[in-house]
Amino acid sequence: MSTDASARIRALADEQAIHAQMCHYIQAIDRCDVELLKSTFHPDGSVIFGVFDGNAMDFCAWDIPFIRDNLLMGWHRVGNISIVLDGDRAMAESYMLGNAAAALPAEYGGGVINCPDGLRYHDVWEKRDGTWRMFSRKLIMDWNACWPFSGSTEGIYASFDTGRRDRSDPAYALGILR
Amino acid sequence: MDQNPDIALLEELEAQRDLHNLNTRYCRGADRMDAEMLGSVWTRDAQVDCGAFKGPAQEFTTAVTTPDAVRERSYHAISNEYYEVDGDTARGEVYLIAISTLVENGSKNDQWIGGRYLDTYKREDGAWKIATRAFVMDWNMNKPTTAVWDEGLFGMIKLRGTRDRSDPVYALLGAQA
Repeated sequence: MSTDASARIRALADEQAIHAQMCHYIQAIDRCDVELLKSTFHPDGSVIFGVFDGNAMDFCAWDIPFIRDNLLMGWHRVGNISIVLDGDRAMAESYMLGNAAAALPAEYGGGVINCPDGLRYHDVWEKRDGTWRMFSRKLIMDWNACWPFSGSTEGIYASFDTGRRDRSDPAYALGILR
Repeated sequence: MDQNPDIALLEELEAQRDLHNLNTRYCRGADRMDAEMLGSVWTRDAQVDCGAFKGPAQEFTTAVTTPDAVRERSYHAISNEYYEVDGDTARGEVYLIAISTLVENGSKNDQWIGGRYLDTYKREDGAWKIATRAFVMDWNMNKPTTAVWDEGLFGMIKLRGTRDRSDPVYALLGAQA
């Protein structure tokens, strides 16, 4: 294999590795797995999320309890992943079309709301010691909605297995989360 | 034609990657209303058929990147990208959920459209471009806008998308946006 072909294969592998880490990030926040979340950032990484700005490890330690305390459910779907490689660095934009539910505080009228949202992640990735992790991640808000919660656990919905926020989620039993 | 089967496989993977990047660029160009970016995704003679518009892609680009009073924002989320590559041409199907906020008769409504792009692609001057794009709508949903921008958790997210070059993506990607 020529040097040129090797470099081209490595570029594809780098993009695939970043793609996999973006999936790990989502798995971590949806399963509330703080160790998995930390593994997607370098220790000196940082985030600008508005709800938290600062060191990435501090963000991870803050974010998981924050999700547990504030969201009844969170489900994040990442797409439009766009990666620009620059050696052992990469810039990336991705779209996150998510859904979450939250209990409204009494001053907002109480009840439960269902909030789909259209956000984007803007990242800088770095490969250190052969592993791609985020050096920075920013959260950009494009759109959101706040609808009355209409989810049900009755009837057909009672028959489904459902996602969990701990290691009892079926993804761990499958072995793709450890 | 390259005789090395490994190189042929590598080229196939690169074409799939490049077609993916072409479609994310289309979405970015549309959502940022960037005529130059959106204009760059088409072959010189590309044609678009998306219902309300049927004609040359460059006219389509001008139409959807010109500010209008109705569409306040858009969000093109794609998935299920399926491409069949054959040399310098390709076909593809791409699923789309497009969410827009429309200002109509003084009220704001969120419009969801679920559908598919049915495309042909060509490699022109070494770069993959969209040669023909037909949009097929599979479903739509229309709801009064309930977006929250200034309070609660959403209000804390200070970085916001814009439909011009002030969007943060230009600072991130620079000339490669």
